[in-house]
Amino acid sequence: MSGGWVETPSTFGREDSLVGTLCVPAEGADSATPLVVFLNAGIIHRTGPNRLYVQLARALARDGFPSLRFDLSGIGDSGRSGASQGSLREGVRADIASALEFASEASEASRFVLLGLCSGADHALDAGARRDDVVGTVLFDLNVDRTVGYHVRHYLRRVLRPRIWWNVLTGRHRSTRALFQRLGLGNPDPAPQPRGSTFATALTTEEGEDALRRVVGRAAPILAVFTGGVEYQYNHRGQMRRLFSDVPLGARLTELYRPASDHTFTDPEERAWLIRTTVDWMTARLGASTTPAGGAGP
Amino acid sequence: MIPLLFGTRERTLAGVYSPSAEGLRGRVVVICPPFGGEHIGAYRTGRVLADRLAVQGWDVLRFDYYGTGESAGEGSEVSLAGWVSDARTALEEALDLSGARRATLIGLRLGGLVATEASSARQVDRLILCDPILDAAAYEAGLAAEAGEPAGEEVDLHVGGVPVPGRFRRELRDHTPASPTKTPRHLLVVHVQTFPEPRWLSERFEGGTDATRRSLPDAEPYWTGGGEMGVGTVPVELIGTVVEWLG
Repeated sequence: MSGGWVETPSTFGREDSLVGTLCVPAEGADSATPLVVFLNAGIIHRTGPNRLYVQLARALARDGFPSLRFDLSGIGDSGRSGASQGSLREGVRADIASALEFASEASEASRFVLLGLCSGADHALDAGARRDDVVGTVLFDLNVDRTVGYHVRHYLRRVLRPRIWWNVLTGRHRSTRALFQRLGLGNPDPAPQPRGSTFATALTTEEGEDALRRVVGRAAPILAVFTGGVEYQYNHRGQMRRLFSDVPLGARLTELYRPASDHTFTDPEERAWLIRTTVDWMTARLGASTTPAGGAGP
Repeated sequence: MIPLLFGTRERTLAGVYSPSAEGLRGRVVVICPPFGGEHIGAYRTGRVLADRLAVQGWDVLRFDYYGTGESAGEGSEVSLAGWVSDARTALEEALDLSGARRATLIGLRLGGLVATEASSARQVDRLILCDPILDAAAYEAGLAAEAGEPAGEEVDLHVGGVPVPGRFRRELRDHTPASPTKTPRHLLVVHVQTFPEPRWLSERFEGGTDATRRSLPDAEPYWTGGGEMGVGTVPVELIGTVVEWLG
């Protein structure tokens, strides 16, 4: 505990099997201010990658936003609750429901923002779409499919790289090796690296579209930040909006791209930017002075 | 499992207390974690180790050093001397919670150095070092190399997103083991990788300490996942070795 925030670790959920930390502004928060719920990035426990969630939670508290960071069942300190006999995704939804119930009892918050990185972003979008009390979502490196625009940029950048042509001419490039192989002049090419979504709970484009439609239908704003760390699936600002062009995202979606950042924001300047941007976005879109549905924002 | 805060208002530490499955038996273990990316990588290992020990009748306290994990403080405030003090604070907390009079300290990686320094507390009767980093100067040089910086400088570093302040680097470089006023009666050193044990370790524990060394050459490093998320696999063999040795 120090200036600006007070933290309380707790257990909650079925059989008290979930573990989390409530972080609230030292001066308190009124019930109209949304509480941010952090969802695990992959299997990293609730501190987030190198304390990203801890730093972000405390920065949010300094600007008046309470939060809960917790471990989903089977991750970090949380046990396997057995709350759901269904799919992994259904289990995650049940855990998130438990977290929101606990947070509302512990803090009197009645509105929530779901925030996650990587698989946490997938979970935030999926669960957020199903609850009327989720008034916003913050998605860092949401798993998305590649678009035509992605492929055009990807291959244009490669074609314009002198090194690629050197590799083609010297037989080091994959396409040259494939040609040699077809002619019986080389060893089989190693299997290509898997691309796209690899998490079992990642949303398909159709599922993502459905979720976004529900979110936008409630006028809940979305902040989506993508990094150069997922260049294999995202490579230009606007790709998400284009991918979901059938959804009237309008001003509800703020889509940002940080090509210089890696997936877990290890660079201190990139991390500081992310924290500042998120806090500013929260204040502009969901702060105490905005309407419950979220304003037009920046 | 009980997540808790302890320490002082100025130096609040976060921990997770796992009471013995068999109720109060007056046996308690404190686990000192690794540092930086290895902390995240080995977090699950600490959790599973605590669960296994709790089943065997041990109360277990895991905690985060000041400036790391869930504890208060910034990464720029980390300090080796401060962490030894944190380990002693955790020890007091664990003794208080468990009602035990003696405790076991377990140190993973850099936590091994912290646990060794903290083990001179009179209540510590057993010390377990898992893949300990005991050559702090070499460790500092490794951190500097990872950041692409020369060793021996005072500048602040960021290694994989983790702040490594210049003052902390100097502490590591200048580290000399303190002359213990007391040593634990029992020592276990267990490792999954080649372990160049420094001479000072055996010198420190010569005499009254019963020392055991176990090597698990086929086991994988559990403090690194190798990928960007960096979560290691749980070392079942190492955990089994520790649990068996403690009895």
